[in-house]
Amino acid sequence: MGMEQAWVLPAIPVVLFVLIALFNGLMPRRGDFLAILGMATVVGLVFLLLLDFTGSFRAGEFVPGGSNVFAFDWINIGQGFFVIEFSTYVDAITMVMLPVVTIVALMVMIYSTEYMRGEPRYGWYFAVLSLFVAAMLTLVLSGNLIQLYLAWEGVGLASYLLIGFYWERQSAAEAAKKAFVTTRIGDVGLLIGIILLWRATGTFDIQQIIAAATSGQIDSTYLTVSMLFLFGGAVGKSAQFPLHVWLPDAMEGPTPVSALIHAATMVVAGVYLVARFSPVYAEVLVARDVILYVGLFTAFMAGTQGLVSNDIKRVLAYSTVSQLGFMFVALGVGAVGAAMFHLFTHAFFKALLFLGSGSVIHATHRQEVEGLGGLRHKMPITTATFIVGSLALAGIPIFAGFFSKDEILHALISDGPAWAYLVLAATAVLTAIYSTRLVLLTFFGKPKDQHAYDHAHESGPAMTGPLVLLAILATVSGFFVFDQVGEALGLAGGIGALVYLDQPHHFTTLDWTFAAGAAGSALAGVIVGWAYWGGDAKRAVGARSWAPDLHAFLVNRWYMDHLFQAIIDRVILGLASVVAWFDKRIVNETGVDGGAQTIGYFGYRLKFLQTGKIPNYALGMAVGVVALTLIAVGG
Amino acid sequence: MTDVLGNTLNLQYELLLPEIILAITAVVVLTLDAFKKELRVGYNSLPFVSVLGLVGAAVATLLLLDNRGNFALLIELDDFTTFFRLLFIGTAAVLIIGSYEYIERHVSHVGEFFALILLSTVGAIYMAAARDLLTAYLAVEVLSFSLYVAVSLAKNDPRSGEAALKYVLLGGVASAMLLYGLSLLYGVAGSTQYAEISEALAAGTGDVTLPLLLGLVLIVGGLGFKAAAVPFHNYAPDAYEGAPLPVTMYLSATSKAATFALILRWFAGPLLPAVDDWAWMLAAIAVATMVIGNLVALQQHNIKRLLAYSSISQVGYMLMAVTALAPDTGVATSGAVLVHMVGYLVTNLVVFVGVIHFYNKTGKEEISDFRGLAQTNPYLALTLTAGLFSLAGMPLLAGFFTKFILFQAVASADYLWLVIVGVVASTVSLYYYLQVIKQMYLYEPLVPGRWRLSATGYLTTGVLFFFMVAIGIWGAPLYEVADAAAGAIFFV
Amino acid sequence: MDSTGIVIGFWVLSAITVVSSLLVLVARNLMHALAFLVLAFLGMAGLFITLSADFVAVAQVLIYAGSISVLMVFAVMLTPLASRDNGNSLYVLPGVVAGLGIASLVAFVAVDTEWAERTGAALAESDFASTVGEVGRLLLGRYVLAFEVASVLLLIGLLGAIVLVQERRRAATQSPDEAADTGARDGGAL
Repeated sequence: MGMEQAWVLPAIPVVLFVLIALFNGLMPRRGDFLAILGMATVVGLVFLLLLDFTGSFRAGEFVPGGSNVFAFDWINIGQGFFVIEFSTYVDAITMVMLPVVTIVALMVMIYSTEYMRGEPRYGWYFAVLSLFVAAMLTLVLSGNLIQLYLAWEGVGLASYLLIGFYWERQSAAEAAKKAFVTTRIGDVGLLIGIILLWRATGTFDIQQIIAAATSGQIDSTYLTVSMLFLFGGAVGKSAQFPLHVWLPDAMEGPTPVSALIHAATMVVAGVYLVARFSPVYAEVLVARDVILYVGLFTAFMAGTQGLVSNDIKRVLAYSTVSQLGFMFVALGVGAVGAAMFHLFTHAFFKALLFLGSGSVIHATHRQEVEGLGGLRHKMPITTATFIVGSLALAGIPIFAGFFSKDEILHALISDGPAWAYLVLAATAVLTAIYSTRLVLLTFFGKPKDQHAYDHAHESGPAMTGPLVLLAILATVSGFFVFDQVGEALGLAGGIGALVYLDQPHHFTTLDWTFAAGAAGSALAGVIVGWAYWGGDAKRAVGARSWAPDLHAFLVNRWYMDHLFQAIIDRVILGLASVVAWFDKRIVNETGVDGGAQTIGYFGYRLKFLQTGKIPNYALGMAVGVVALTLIAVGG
Repeated sequence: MTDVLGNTLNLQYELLLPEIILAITAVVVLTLDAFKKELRVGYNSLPFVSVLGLVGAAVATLLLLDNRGNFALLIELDDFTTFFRLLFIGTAAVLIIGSYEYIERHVSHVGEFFALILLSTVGAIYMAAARDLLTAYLAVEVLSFSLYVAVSLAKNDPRSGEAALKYVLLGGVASAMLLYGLSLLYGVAGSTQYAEISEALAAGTGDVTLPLLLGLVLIVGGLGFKAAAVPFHNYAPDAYEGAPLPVTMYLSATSKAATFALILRWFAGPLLPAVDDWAWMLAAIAVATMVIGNLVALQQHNIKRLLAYSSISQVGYMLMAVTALAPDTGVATSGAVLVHMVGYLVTNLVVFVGVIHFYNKTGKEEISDFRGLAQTNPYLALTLTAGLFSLAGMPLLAGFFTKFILFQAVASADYLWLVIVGVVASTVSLYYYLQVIKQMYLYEPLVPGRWRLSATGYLTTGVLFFFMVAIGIWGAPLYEVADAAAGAIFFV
Repeated sequence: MDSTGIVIGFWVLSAITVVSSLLVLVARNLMHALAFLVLAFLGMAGLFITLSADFVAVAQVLIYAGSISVLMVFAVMLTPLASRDNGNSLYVLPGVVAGLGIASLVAFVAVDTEWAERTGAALAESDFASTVGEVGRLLLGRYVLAFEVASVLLLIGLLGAIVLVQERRRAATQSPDEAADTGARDGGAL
């Protein structure tokens, strides 16, 4: 498996998708084993690819920004006027994404065999999962923007299908629609950005575009606008403010899906996109500042919302939005290595947390923390792994999240404004608080719903196995920060040298003093959380009654959804109804219905009056002609 | 032979074979219908013979593939003509095969109906093939008259006659506008031959700029009516709603495509030297059409009216590309229009054939009547969903790729602001397409129980579905064909 | 436009055509409107004669002023409840404004332009004694295809007429209630 054959990776799940979607009824177990075997093969191939890549890296043969590894012309019209290739491109950023996507996907598929057992459309579920993996792998491997955009929409479609998997539930279908439409708004930005870049460079090839943009061939204002549009796509997909509203609702989908798509892989596509174009963003600092502040605001806002939510999955969703904000902050100060590192660790611990919450939901059929509690007695493995995940999320040392979050904070204090660092550090404390709260309310204390508690039981090995594996990954994946680990794997200068070559100072050694401060604040967060929600959570209730307005503000998600709903209802639909009214009443006087009914009631005599309305249409046309003439003469 | 003016004329009648076959088939169908009892044939013989004629015409077209030239300086036979011959013949075949059950039950005068479809196909083909304003105008009228009559043919639907009346009266106004515009153009250029008009306009229009402008305005207005572009679109939703469903489909498919064939022939050919005079008019119309078409579609409750406004907005996208025709990138741009037209046509036919079969079963056409279709007929629901997604421009379906290439062409011609309007407008469109999809998947059906399409229903939707996906994934052959066709219409 | 006679003829005929067209619009009685329409057709025929287009002029008289007008008279007479008055439109004012706008645009363009005219020798050369022969030769020679397409157009018109007539007969055999419903359709059928 060399880099030239990387196209095989998405090809396998595509074939599986077609097979399972069409023939799952004929297969034993509806074809789930096929999806898992295929996925395991892909994981194996990814490791072979990794060996090939590190080999060529060691041999000094790898050139970042080199030509596409594999390409053929897909469409070529107008004698080279419009060429779309199918191409794959492998570099360090790709090599971070590939293991994340494939390993989490494999874990989720294994987990789903138990979690989804007995569901209707079980085969379809695995088919769509395969489709998603295929699209996601195409996305991270694609060497040109068209292919990237197609894959981008492909993961969106798979996400839509999976959020709406329980489409009998009104809320699920609504959430699917919301996610779809909201991310589409971002996609429009991406599409416009792609067209703008194509217009300036005449190519869709990502490396050629980067080369053209960094060599100053594009006017800097034009480039800034293009890159902002591109970032618009990332904002939609990665649920950043103001398009973050879809992600919490997307929790209507099956929990393993949330783990895969809405925590580990699809939502980080935006981070991937910006990281991919990071050399260009380094040229347009205005755009980079926008990324920084959007990420910062989102991280803080989502962190506060995570404090009050009662639904396990929603807390995790807010935390995902918040952590994605962390990654964008890192990108906003140019610390691509830190962003990718956090992406890497976050994928494992967040997938772990989601799968853990799935285990709880599976056991109790409840997902509001008000109905849970005390589950540590019944579900020891789930509890233990969930705590590992939470500690990683909170940023407690030795767990993965600590190292990666530390990298981001460190980058921010070196290259960003001081107040931004304070906000982000405060958000990190908030993270520790709400993760502690979640663990305490779910697994500790007294059971709040005795019936659910009585029926709770530890999940089977198909579910606990992936939990344990992910818990291990959530612990050890942070160690890649140490150069010794990288060197042990045969990479001189550690992983950091590989992942981001031109900013070694962000990714080589750990600054222990700084790290101690970060660890201290995380611990402080845990302690605050423990003080408020430990035992019977008297203090938490007290705090809520002390500041009811603030609580309502947070529970209502900063009233952001209300605001958007109002904008859609009042402005867009209002405008549409005004235009429709105009179209129907002023120009078009009576629609065909009205006319026909009038005739039905008043019979024959009114007929000529009715046809008398036709001049109004003609009048519209005449006005059109006059207006056109004016434009023609004026223009 | 030569005419009185000394022009050498080529009168090879075999070049007209496809249209001759179509016209004769129309007469045969009429005769069959009139003597049904005497000849002891049933209803099914009519669609059968019609399709036979269409197949014959298609075969004749393919046999004539390499014969280029003109017929008596009136009709040009080139790749562009061949492209549209096949497109229109194919559309008519889909219409007849996909909806003959509907026609039997809900259309009065079935024999005349099939004859009208065949004859109007002749008109549509000659709109694409004309190389003289005279033939072009006559072809426009052949198509329009067929449609005026066809719109009135819905059985037991009072809306039908009223729609036809509106359509015919306003169509008359539009034809008058078009004709007056053409007269002015003749006055300016001194010829009705496209090639000579092109030469005359290229030589400079210093003294006659004003009549040329007025002529262009009137031509744009007349064609704008035929294509249903804002503000000449008012008749369209009424006509679409009142017409029998297959005619609605025909209005949104062949009628529009033929109008755009004519627009391309004119604006890329004889009128291209005057591009600076008409580009802004078309840009204004394109923006108005995209914005109003999409916004008003948000408010519709009837599937026919929804599709009417949706097709209006599609017209806006194509007009936008015509705006961007320029001598240097013109071939690629008009190729993009052709590609988008085929993509739109295929997608639109998928949706309409689906809706026709839905109507065959339920007799309903409100959007809310589609509730629960995913449970009662998952295949149809899936087909309609894919079709609507393609109309909205979702990737991997025809609609995305063709629209993308269209936008691309416009962007490269420096009409970036138009592209942005177009992209935003097409995002709005997703909302109203999702409304239909929501009905199908979210709600319980009013009348539970599964039902199936007829064999021809599966056949037509299946084939169209295949093409829709094929164009979306592997469109290269289509692009090549469209590029060759577009190359034929330029004089410079 | 050389001789004074033709110039005077042009203005007189134009005045007849324009004034009677306007009267068609304002006439309350449909029969009166029709009469003015015939007058306008005749004025047009006269204009064709001043252009030496004798065949077109005769065709205009025969087809428009003759048969089509008669057909319309029959249609009005045979429509039982047709109100004979031309009802008011709510949009008179905007209609007049838009109409005036277009008319003035056209007039301005027509007057303002230096049209390429045939004068002197070129005019004399193109001045056929009678155009009938030329028209016939062109119609069946060079424009034979246009002629055929026009015949297809007529066939479609014929089909339309058949459809409408059958519709009317069916409506007549229905009960009064149903007839009221199909009234719309008759209206649509004109």
